[in-house]
Amino acid sequence: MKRFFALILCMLLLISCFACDKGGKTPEQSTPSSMDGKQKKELKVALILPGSLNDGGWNANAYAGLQELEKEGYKVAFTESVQISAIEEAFRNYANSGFDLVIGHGFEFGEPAIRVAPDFPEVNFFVSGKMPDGVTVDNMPKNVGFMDMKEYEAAYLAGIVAGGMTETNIIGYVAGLEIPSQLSNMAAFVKGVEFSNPDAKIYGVVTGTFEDPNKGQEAAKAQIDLGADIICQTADSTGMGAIQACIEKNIKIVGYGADQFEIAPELIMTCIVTDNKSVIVKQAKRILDGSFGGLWEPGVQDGTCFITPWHNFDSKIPQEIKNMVAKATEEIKAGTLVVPYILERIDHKMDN
Amino acid sequence: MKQFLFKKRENRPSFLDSVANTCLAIAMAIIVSIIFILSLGENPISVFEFIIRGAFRNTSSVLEILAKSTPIIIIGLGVSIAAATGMTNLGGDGQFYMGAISAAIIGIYLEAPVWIVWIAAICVSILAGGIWGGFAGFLRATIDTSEVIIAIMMNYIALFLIGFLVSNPLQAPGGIPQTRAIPQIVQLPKLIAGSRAHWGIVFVALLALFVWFVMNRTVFGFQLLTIGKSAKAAQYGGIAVKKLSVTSMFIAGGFAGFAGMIEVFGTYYRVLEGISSSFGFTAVMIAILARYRPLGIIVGSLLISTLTVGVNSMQIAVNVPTSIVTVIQSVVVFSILVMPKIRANFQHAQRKRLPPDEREES
Repeated sequence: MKRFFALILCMLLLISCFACDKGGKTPEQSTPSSMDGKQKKELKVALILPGSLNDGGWNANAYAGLQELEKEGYKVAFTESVQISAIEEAFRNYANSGFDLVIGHGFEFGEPAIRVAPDFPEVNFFVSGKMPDGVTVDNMPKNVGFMDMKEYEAAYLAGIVAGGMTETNIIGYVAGLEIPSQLSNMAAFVKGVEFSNPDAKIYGVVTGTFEDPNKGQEAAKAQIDLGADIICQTADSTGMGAIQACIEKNIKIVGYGADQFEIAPELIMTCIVTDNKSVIVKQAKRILDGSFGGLWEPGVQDGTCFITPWHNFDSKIPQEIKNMVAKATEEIKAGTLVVPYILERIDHKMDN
Repeated sequence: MKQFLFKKRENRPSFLDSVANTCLAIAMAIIVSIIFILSLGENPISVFEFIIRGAFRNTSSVLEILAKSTPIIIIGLGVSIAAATGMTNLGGDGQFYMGAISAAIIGIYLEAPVWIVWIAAICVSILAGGIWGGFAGFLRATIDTSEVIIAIMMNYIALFLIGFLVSNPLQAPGGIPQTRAIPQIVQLPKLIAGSRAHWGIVFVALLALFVWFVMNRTVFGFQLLTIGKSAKAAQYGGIAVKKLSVTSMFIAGGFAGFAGMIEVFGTYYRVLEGISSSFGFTAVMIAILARYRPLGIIVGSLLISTLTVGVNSMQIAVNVPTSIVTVIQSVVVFSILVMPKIRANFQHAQRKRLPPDEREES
C-alpha cells in the first residue's frame, strides 16, 4: 500500500510539474487567438477540405494553393477529410481562432457557411461552389463568397480544336454526372466544334458517374465504332476508361481536370482545366483588395479556366486552328464573345 | 460489472482508493501521450498548453464543450441503467440514428404547434431507439444471445439504413446526402447565439437527476440492481427478471434515441451520415469510468468533450494529429479497467508475504 501511494505521489508530482511549467510559460507564448490588431499582410487563411489532400485532384490542387499562400508569407492552416456533419464546427473553430479567411472547398460547405457567417462578421468565408438553394447574392451575408466557375468557356475552346482536327467529322464526348456544370461543358463544346467545323457531328454520352472507368470505356468504344476520331472526356475516373479505349484504337483525345498529356503523349491534344490552386490563392488577394464576397464567376477571362498547351501536337495542329483558338480566347477575355450557357443536350445523344 | 455495482453499495472501497485509481489512470494516459507527442517531434508541454487554452479560450469554446457532451451524457445515462441489470449497451450509435431519423421525420412532416411537434418527436425517438435497443435485450432474455454482439450488429443496420434514407427517399434537393432541414420554428433555441450549444443541455441535468432518483430511491431501480447482482436470487425473490432486463435495454435504447432527437432539433436540424461520431462507444466508456453514477457520467463526458474541443483547436496551431485524443481516452479507460485488478493482485501478493496472524490487519 505504501509503495502504491509513493507511486501516486510521484505521478502527482509529475503532473504538477507540467502544470507549473505551463503557468510559467504563458506570458511569452502567443496564442492562436491573440491577433486582434491584424495587419493586412498577416492574413490568416484556413482551408477545410472534404477529402484527403493526397487525392491528386480537387483537394490536392486546393492544398497546393494554400502552400503557395504560405510561401508568400500568409499564415495558413488546414483540416482534411471533414465530414459534412462536422463542417459547421470546423468553420466555427477556425473563425474563433482568429482566422481572417476560412475556405470550405466544395458545394456542401455552402449551407453551413451561410449559417455561421452572421456570427463572425470579421471573418470571411469562401465556398468553392455555387450557392445553396434559396440563397441569392442579395440575401446572403456580406462576408461570404461563393464561386461559379465558367468551365464551359474552356470547353468551348477545346471544341474549336476538336472541330478543326477531326477528319471523319465525327467526335465523341464522354460526360460524367448529369449536372449543370457537365451539361454546360458539353453544349459549349458542341458550339465550339460548330464554330470551327459546321459539318462535324458530336455523339455524346452522359455516363451518370465520375467513378466508373468501365462505363467510360464502353461509351468511347461505341463512339469509335460510329467513326469518331476524336474523343473528349470530362468525367474524371470514368474518363480514364475513355482514354484507355482511345489508346487501344489510336484515337485523339481531349482531356479534363489536369494536364493529362503524360498519359498518352501522342494522343492528347489538349485538356480542359480549371485552376483550383489559383482559386484559393485569389481569395486572399480579393480580401486585400476589398472585392471579396458575393458570387465570383471565374472563367477564361481571369485565367482560372483554360485549355492546356499543345505539347506534341504543337506541330500537328494547323496554324489556322491555333489562330481561331487564340482569337476566341481574346474575345472571351475582352467580353465580345459570350460563350452560351446551355443546359440542354444539343449533341447527338446516344446514352443507352 | 455486475459485482462491481454491488460492491460499491455494500462494501464501498474507500474514497481515497477510487480517487487514487483515477489519478493513476490519468497519469498513465498523460505519460503515454507524452511519448506519443515526442515521437512526432513536438514539444508535449506546448501541445498540452494548446489543448487547455483551446478548450477554455472563450465562451464559445466552453459552449462547444457543452454541445459536444450533451448526447454523450444522455446515452451514458442509458448505458448505466442497462448496466444495472448486467447488460452492456454497445448499440448506442444505432439507437441514436434511429431516434434521430424518426425525430427528423416528425420535425419535417408533422405540421402542428411547436410543443406538439416536440413532444411527438421525443416520444417517437424514444420509441425508435428503445425498440432498437430492446430487441437486443429481448434476444438475450429469450434465446440467450449476446446483447453486445447483437447491438453492435444493429448499429451497422441502422447506419446503412440511414445511408439509404438520406440518399434516396428522404434526400433534400441539392445533391448532398442529407434530409431536408426541420422548420426553423421547431428548432431548439440556442443557449447563446453564435454557438452550437442549445437548451437540450437543460434536459440533461434533469435526466441525470431522474436517473439517480429511479436507481436509488425506487423499487424499480432496486429490482434492476438486484437482477444485476444475481439474476437467480432476483427470480427467487419474485422479480420478473426477463421482463425487467428487456425493459432496461429498452430504456437504454430510448435514451440513445432521445439523444438523437436532441441533436437533430438542437444542433444539425437534419439527419446526415456522421452526426454521431461513435457517441455510443464513448458513452459506454465514460459510464464505465464513472462506475455508472449519473454525476460521474456528467463529469466524465464534460472532461472528454473538453479534451476533444481542446485537441481540435490544438491541431490548428501544432502539427499533431487529433487522434491523440483517442490515444489519451483509450489509455485512461484501459488503466481504469485494469488498475483495480493489478492493485488487488499486488496487495494479495503482499499479504502472502506477511506472517499468517498479521494478514487480516493489512
